[in-house]
Amino acid sequence: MNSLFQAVYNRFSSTTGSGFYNDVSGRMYLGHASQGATFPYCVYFSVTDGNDLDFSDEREDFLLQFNIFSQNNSSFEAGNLLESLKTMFDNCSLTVTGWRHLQFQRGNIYPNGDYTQVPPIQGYSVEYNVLLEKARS
Amino acid sequence: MTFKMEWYGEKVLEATNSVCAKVSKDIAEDVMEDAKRILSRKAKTKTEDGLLTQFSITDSKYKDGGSLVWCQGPGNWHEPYHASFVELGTPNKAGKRHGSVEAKPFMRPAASKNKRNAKRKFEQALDKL
Repeated sequence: MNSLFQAVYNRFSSTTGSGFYNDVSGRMYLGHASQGATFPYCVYFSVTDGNDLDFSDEREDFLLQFNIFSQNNSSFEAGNLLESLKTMFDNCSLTVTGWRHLQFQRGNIYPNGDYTQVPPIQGYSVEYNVLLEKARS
Repeated sequence: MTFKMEWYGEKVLEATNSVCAKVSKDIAEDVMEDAKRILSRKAKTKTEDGLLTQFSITDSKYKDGGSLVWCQGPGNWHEPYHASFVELGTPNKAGKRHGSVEAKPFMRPAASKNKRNAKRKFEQALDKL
């Protein structure tokens, strides 16, 4: 859903001088990163999207995933990225065009590195449960 | 006057547990079939396609029981192991044309799709007790 992806990106790019945007130097991609993208960077995408209707409202229940990657001998940078990602998105309030935003709650975090590379790629996959709602038309 | 009370709690609990175990296995099979269907739709390479034969279901060892759906899980360990890379995605490696995997989640969407179905199956089975 484009308006959610746009809202996530808007939040990301709203603080350019500090925080997560600064830590990944503005490199957050939707779906997949371009080949040979400079590290560190972040990729975000929707894992699942469930639709729920009742008599008056429509809800969309998303599972969003953020993959953060750093190529560094030290795991410090990846850990730092994880913390700044949490600071930016944990229980954040989004402006999603056409929808009321209800929830942005962090779920599971999986380590997701590639230690066969030199220097190793250190990373995490972070899940967020996102709930949106609007009146049925 | 005497009162006699008979207690069938243990039998009821036993029957409930047995029904729950059976239903959770049924649901695990539904999840596995859906995961295979989603994967077969998303798989573009022979390696990704190869995962279709590497699914399994085992009984959970957690206290609350249930069933677990695996891809390349215990007893199905394969080289190369790559199910988690397909599910979660991997980084694009600088300077290399190959080696990166775009995430193609198949396990989590299958589990999510079956949430309501699972609730309904449990309700129906327990109503019959």
